[in-house]
Amino acid sequence: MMTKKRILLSEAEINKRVIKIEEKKQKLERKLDKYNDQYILFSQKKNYRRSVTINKKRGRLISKIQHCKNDLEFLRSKDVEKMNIFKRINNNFKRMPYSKQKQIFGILFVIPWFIGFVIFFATSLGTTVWWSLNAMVPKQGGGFDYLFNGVQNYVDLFTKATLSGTTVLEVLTSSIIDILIDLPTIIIFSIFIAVLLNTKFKGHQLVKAIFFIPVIYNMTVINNTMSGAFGTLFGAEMDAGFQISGTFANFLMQIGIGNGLVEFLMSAVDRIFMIINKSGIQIIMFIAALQSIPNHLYESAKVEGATKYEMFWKVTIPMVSPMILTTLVYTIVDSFGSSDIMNFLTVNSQGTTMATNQPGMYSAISIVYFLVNLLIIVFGFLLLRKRVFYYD
Amino acid sequence: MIKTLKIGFSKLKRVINQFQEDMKSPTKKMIFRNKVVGIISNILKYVLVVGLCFVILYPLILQLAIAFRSPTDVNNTSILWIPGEFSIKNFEVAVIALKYFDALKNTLILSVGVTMLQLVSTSLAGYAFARLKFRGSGILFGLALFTIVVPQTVISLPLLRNLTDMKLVGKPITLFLMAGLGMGIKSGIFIYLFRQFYRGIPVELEEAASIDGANPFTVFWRIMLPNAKGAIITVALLAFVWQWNDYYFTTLFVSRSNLDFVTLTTQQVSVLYGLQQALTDAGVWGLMGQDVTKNPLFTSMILNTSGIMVMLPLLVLYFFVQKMFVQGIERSGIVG
Repeated sequence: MMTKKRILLSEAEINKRVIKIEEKKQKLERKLDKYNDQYILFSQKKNYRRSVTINKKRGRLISKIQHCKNDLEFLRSKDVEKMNIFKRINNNFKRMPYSKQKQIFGILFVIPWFIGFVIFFATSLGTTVWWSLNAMVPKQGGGFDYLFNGVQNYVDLFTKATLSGTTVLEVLTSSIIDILIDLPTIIIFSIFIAVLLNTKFKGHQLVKAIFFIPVIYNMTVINNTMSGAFGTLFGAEMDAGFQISGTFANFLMQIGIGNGLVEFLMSAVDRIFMIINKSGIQIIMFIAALQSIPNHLYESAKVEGATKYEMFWKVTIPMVSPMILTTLVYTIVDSFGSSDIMNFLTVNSQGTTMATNQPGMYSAISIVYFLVNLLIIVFGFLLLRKRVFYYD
Repeated sequence: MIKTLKIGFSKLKRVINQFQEDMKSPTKKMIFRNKVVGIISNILKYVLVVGLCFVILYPLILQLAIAFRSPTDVNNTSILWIPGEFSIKNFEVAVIALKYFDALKNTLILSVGVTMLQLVSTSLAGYAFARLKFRGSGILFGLALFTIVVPQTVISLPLLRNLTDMKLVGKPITLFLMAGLGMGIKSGIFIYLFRQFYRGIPVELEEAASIDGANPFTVFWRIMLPNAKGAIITVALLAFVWQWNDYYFTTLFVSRSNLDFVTLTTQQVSVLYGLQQALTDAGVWGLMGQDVTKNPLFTSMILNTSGIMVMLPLLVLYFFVQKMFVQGIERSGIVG
């Protein structure tokens, strides 16, 4: 085969090929010698038929040898472009089908995240689980002795552990109740605000800008402000102006609306500031979801004679329902940080005794808390799953 | 005089008659009713919006009111919202107590670096999970979602020990490393956002590019990223803000063992715990008498002022990017 086109090879590859071709050539030449002998033999015996077939084979061999010679000549000439390994990989890569290229890049793109996942997340989570199953006794000179004791930590957690007089169970239930109150309030509030902000009215740009400010608020700082000496001073002044909410609550009680509902409403009103500040991201998510609702749905609804109220319930809510699921998860996760259970766990500037002396207990608490939250998420998921509508 | 009144009266009568006439026809009645409902709902809307805006801005207004109050007016009860005399003395004290410029520099370096790295790692992973499917990518995405659900406190203690073993604690590079490897603050959420976003970009764009001979990376770099501006801005702002306001990570992995490295938030919190000591260290007594600085209201005042100084750069930044941010969200179309 006469290779006229330029081929791209590395130097080592060329040498390898030269050796290979030379071997092949030698083999062919040996065969040719054999054929030559046979040819002479048959022609002497006047066996013409066989001598002709041998001659044919000889001709083929000669041409093959010539090919090898040509190849060698070509490989040794300067025509061969020498290239490094990267170019070759690139070259091979280009010849791959696109779907395979995608897979390779997919793996490449995920690798950094996966390394981080293994180093920082998976090992730590595993260690936490392992610690929670051990009684960890501090050794002298740092480090811990591990004594495997099964679920003893979890049992102790619910029977012994206390923090400033409250048991873990109490804190856990109160924080769960907090989440259960906050969750629907935040989601309903943020849908409401998102719908409000999504309409165009005078000054909606400014209002949008203001509503996203809670996203950049530093809650540590804000809480300090609100609960500091000056904050309470101002708060008292403000409360005088908000007597009306108390009156309203009394009114509701008197007309016989359930006690529980009133309490729920009142606690929601009390939390209005916290709720607004917690729902910044959720509002963003819902606005994005609202923006992605195709306009023709509303148009056809209008043609059918739907009122705005009906459109909200029959078009908007189903279309943003997948996002409700997402915000549900986000809200629960977000409430981890501000929960009371954190008081057991936070490593503040003094360093809690729990973290330094009883890592086993610490791990057990955090895992229990995580599982409880996971339970809430799963519960919410199951509750909403059938009602979620996917428009595709 | 009477004549004009009469004319006016008859005009009014005519208008009322006209109105009554109009009310008889159902369509006009409907239009009128809609108009009234529209106006009332508009008024309600504005009242609500203004009220909520006030609730949101309340702490900010509060902080500003306190920050500009002169230290000599601490106990003056006649002054509440508007300071008697504007003074920037509180700011001077807060700058000293916070080690402001040092902390600001550190915070900026940390926030910018972490934001960049998080953008790179999460957008790559998000794109891979959205479009570059390979065997097992579904499981890996499940794991990525799992990282969102697991609270940081669950893994922080072993993580701290591992990092100590790796001799990484106390250096800001730890945070950079975690951000770069997709395990920074709430990286899982960013991966999710990017994935949702890239899924929304039509496949035809990618196919057209691949037919023209682009490889997957070129497709990502030339076509997907420029189209993902909305998601990038959203993620960048959130990453920046969360790093800026982060106390937990920064203290745990850097500031607790390296007291020289302070960021605005960690410094603010440490000022909260030991303001008097900070004031003594900073030599604020030179500025004003001890009787003033020992006053608890003064402490609160300085805390508030330092609080607003921590948030101020962010607020200024937000002021500039707010339009882009809002538009970015609206165009991003992230749907769960």
